[in-house]
Amino acid sequence: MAEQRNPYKGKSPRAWVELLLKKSDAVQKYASLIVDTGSPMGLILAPEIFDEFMLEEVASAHSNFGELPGGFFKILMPDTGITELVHGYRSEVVGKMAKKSHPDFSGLVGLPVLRLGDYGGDPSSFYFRYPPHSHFPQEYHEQPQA
Amino acid sequence: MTNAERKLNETAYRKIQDQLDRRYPFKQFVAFHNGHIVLDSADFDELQRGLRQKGIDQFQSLIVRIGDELPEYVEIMPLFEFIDG
Repeated sequence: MAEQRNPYKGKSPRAWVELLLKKSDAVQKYASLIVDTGSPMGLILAPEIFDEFMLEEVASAHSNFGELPGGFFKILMPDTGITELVHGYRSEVVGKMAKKSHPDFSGLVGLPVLRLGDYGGDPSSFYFRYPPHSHFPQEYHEQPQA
Repeated sequence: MTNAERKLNETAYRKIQDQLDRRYPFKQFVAFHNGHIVLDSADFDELQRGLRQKGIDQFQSLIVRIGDELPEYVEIMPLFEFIDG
């Protein structure tokens, strides 16, 4: 099981992960994203990141900060070998808030991405491990029963 | 996609959302354009190629992956700004 482990950072210490966003072999970039286990959205990204790396549009979502356009994103985490196609959403407010916490941050990563692996932390750092120790949840790789 | 186009595709999708699970295999990608389904594929890259061949770019279609649960409304870290000042 491979791991990415990061010391907390930010004005108030934040758990975070680094993901490689890939649009093509020529267009890819690392993004540091604050961990939000309470978020049902895979990614919430600052507009400039969303606009550059969105592959195709998906249905938008509504939030306390207004309508969030959505899209599919290809994410990789070379430390762990994970490669996935996930939903991401565009938010200028979240992008600004994340950057306010630390200039490296460009958005949030939520539960749909985190639960692809095992995650947790200790007093000094947060980790994400892949593949997960337990089985994937049934809904990830089995067709729902009729 | 303009807001009007997005709304057209999203309305079409939500109208038949419950039926899609029965019509398409789990994890199938389905593309909406101008309020209609125009393509579907089990492979995302293949779907993209198909859309480009039809002259539909990434901002002109709405893609659904069967079985994905999409949040319609979410509260985003309401204490975020308060904590970080």
